[in-house]
Amino acid sequence: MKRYLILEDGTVFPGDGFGSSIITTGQLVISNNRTGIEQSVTDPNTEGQIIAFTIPSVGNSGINRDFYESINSQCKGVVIGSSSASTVNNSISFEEWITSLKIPGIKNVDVRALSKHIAEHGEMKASIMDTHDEHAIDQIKALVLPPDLVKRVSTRQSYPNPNMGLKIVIVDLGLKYSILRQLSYRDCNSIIVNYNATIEEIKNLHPDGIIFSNGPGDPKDLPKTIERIQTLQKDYPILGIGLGSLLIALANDCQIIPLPQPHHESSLAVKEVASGKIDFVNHNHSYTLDQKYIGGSDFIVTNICVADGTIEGIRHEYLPIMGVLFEPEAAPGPTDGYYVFDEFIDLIESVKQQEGIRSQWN
Amino acid sequence: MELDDVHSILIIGPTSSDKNVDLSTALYDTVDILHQLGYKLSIIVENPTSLLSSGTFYDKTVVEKVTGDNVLKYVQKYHPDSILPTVGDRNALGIVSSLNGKIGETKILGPSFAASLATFKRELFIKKLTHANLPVIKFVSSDDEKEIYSFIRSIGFPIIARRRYSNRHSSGWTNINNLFELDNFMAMEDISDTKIEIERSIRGFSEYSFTILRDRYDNSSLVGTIEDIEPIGIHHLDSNLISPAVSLNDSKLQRLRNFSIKLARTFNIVGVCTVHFAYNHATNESYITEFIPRLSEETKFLEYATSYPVATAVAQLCLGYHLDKLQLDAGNYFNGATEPFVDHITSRFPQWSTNGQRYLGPSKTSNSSIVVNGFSLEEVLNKGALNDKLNNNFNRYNELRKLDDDELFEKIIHPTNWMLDVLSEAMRRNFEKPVLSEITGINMPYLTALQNIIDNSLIIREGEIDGSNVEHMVNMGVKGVGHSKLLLDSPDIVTKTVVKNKQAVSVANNDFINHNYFVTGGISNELQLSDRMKIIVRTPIITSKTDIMIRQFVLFQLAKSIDQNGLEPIIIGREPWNAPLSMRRKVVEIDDPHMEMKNLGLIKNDSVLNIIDLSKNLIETDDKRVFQFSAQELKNLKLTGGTSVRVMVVSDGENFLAPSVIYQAKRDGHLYEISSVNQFMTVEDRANISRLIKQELEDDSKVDIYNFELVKSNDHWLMTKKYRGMTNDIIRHELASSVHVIDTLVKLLLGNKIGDDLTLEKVFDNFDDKYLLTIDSKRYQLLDEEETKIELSKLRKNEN
Repeated sequence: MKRYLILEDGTVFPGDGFGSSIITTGQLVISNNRTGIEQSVTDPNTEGQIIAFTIPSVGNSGINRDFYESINSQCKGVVIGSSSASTVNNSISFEEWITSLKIPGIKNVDVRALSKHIAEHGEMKASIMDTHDEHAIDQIKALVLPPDLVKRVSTRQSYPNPNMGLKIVIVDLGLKYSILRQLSYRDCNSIIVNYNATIEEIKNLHPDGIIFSNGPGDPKDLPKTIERIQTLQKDYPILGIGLGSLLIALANDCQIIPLPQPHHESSLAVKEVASGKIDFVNHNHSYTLDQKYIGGSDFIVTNICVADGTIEGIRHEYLPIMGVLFEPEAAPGPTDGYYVFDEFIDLIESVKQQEGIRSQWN
Repeated sequence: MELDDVHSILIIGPTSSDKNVDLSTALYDTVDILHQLGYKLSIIVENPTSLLSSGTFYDKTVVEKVTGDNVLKYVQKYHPDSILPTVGDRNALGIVSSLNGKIGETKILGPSFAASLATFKRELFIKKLTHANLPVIKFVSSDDEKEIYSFIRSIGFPIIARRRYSNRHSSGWTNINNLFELDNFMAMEDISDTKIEIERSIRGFSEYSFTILRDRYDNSSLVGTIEDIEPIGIHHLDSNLISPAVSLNDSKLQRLRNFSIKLARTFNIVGVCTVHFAYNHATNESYITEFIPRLSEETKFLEYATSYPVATAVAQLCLGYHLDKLQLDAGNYFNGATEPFVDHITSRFPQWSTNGQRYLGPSKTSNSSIVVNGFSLEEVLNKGALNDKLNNNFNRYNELRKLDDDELFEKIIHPTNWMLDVLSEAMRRNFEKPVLSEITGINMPYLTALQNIIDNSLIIREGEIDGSNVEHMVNMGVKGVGHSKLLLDSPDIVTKTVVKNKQAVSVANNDFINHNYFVTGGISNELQLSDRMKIIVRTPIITSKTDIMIRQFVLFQLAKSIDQNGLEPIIIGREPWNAPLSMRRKVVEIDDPHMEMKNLGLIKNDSVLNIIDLSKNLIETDDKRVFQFSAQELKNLKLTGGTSVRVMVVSDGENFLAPSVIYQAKRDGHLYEISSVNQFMTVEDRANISRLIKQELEDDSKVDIYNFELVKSNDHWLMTKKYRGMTNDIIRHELASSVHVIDTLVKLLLGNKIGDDLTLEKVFDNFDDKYLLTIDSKRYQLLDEEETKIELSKLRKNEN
């Protein structure tokens, strides 16, 4: 069935529909992920987004439900060039999978031209429809994307991911399961709480450290979370990932800016400023920190993106706070960034050690 | 920081063996950047014509057999600071591994000694990998029956086994699937001093190769991945290759990436390392089968697929540069720390010099390859392996159609280079795809792509193309123009067939400037041309290594000359030209497997000054701008003499230049040829030869290149051969002649004139100071003026 991807600026990309036949509208994001379709579609960060995958022959590698990053799919639609009807491991095909998730998809789209258009004009709203006329474009323009994306994806109830090690409270802003997987590998006893959990609720859990997870949307839509960070950071080691790291920055007099060319790529190099070490990690963010404000804050830049110099990691000079804009849990992408979890655990351990010494003196 | 104590580098050059792949572009890029960065370079090479340059980059060019002894002799005499083996194919690694402890302070750049040795010694390879916890196929070499049986009990069947004799020869691998076959094998000939080698069989596993770059600070990046359509058991370079490896999911890709990086770290390889894997998708087992710590056919292919300048980067990494601070040319920095992202598929399809079927196995049999690009598996298969113009697929189809089902099944079991055609025929007969996949080890997505192609070819054959499916057909890589009457008549076909850049859109790789395009289906055309007038160069398909070298050389000289003369070179061919990096940024390369460009009208006709056609088969054309470059025999007298000369002549239609003369004579049963003997010729010889050439060219009034062969008989020169266009001598003429033939030709095509009343000196003008002696077309020596005089006088004595 002929369908159309219509952009907010009126540009139309024709293609063939698959998956659900409903009309869908969302923020269009170009994903240069080499692999990891399952992860991307189920990543809570993609809430409210239509993802355009630029890889060729999507779905050859098969669909593996073990790679899900949340229980349900999150994105509002998928756009692809070519796909394969069969897979190497005889799993269901990509199109069958998308159909089973009831997501609308459009294929045989010139994703190269689409991604160039977005690179030139910036990210914008888009819709997958059966027709393309003035009325449709007006509808897209008029549609306001919901500002409560985090509320939609955050867990409603707290739940544990028990283990015998350090107790980590994770504030779920759009948590990917792979963060839990990494903490489990490190024996962490994690408790996942709603994004709106109060300071008292968190304190009552007696965490050794707190993680503000990645998530969708504009950080400025979460002023209360920023306030909570300002209080919690005085007492607990904190790791911010993606959206979490932007919130940490905003809580500490930094400013954020939208990236001229957003990072949605599963393997992009970041450099550790102190050592010069280069790691390839998954990026999925449209904002970064404004360099101008870093000097006046108490943060030092720990990582930068090698390709465009964007700030990718920060660390507080005096408090045990660290943040990374990239996704150290990978999923998808190279596993070079796993060390961030080790560093956070080291940070917690050193804080605990100091507290122990202090308590001996007192 | 680069290595401070390295200033001079000895490069181990390629051998002239046909077995080695052509790495001339990689070699050129390597020396180009090192020269620009100020290193003093020397090279040992067997055939100097493989250098693509006339020695500008080299402080010393040693023309010798590329062996360990000769490298050692050079090191002992000149004490270079370092040796670079990355461009010398497998032979260079062998040499490096034989030099351990013999070269004093001289450093080996790139692969470590252990890495080089482990590419040859299976035991070392397995030991090192096992020690590093890397997955490697279990292997035993023993003469103890108990040990062998116990080993097999631990790994299970199937296995492969062979006998290794004391003279280092072996019996060749045998497949063993059960105890009965094993007992039979063990009961066979029992020669003393024989060891039996047993390995777990991985036949039928999928094959992948990962290429990583690594700097000396342990930063690594995955430059590209390749997957073989055919499974393990068929030589990698006889398989149809696809890049990127689209059948690996994230977990598999990251696992193999981590293994590759760990392997390079284990052997401390700085520069490049390609790691081959066997992967079983049913059981998720993976094994490292081999690694290649140097530039290779894989890096050449990936460089083409990703536009990443692998050879240029590797040269700098070997010298200690940081991965993220590399240079394209001196002062022009680029970020090498990128894992190139491509939004299209690049495929390499092997080519054989004959059309017949060949059984495929673990040894390489193909002679060359075709590389094509597309956005889907169907598109690359249609343009490459199933492109009738390249493989005579229609004849194959007719032959296979005659087979009965049993005979066809036989072809499926025993893989040949016609496998994709065989599978297509089997699917036409409704053989079940899962069964075919199981038997052949070819993954289902490829069979589905073939099925799609079959279904759509029926649409073409039955003339059912209409507005609803024409776009789909073009997207699938079906020849857009001229394939059928209906396609031809479709008015919007030209807008559907467009030219796209090979480079993908990504945050990371904006640094890699390239003007490489491919014809594909789509809407937006990306071809960007300058305002300069253009010369289009049409390139031929080639199937032998010598031809590849000639094409590389001629294209390079032509493109350079066209660019230097202020025009824009546009290179169009059925397959890409792997241009040196410096040239890649100046020429527009278009891969056009169905030769559709002409019909697309994307290059304005009035902006094209000339069309230089390098095709071997001359074509009839009315277009006066077409210049056919390949040799056309005009005269061939069967007259052989002891002494002869071959002269290359450039003519503007009125006057001519003969800048390169090759002298040829026999001595002691060997054929001696000396290039560029112009200034050693006697006045009489020049006058006689010039007179004969003039006679031959009397009726010609066009700009052209000619090749003449003249034989000296009883003190008289006789014209025996005449060719219009280029012969295989071109490299020797071009390298030897200081008046460059190809550049002169381009200038004449632009309307320049040679000038009247040239003296004989001017006609034969050449101010070379190095002369190439070739013995029996196999051995080469570079001579200086004095040595040349001596050689010539020896040969001339023989004349009398």
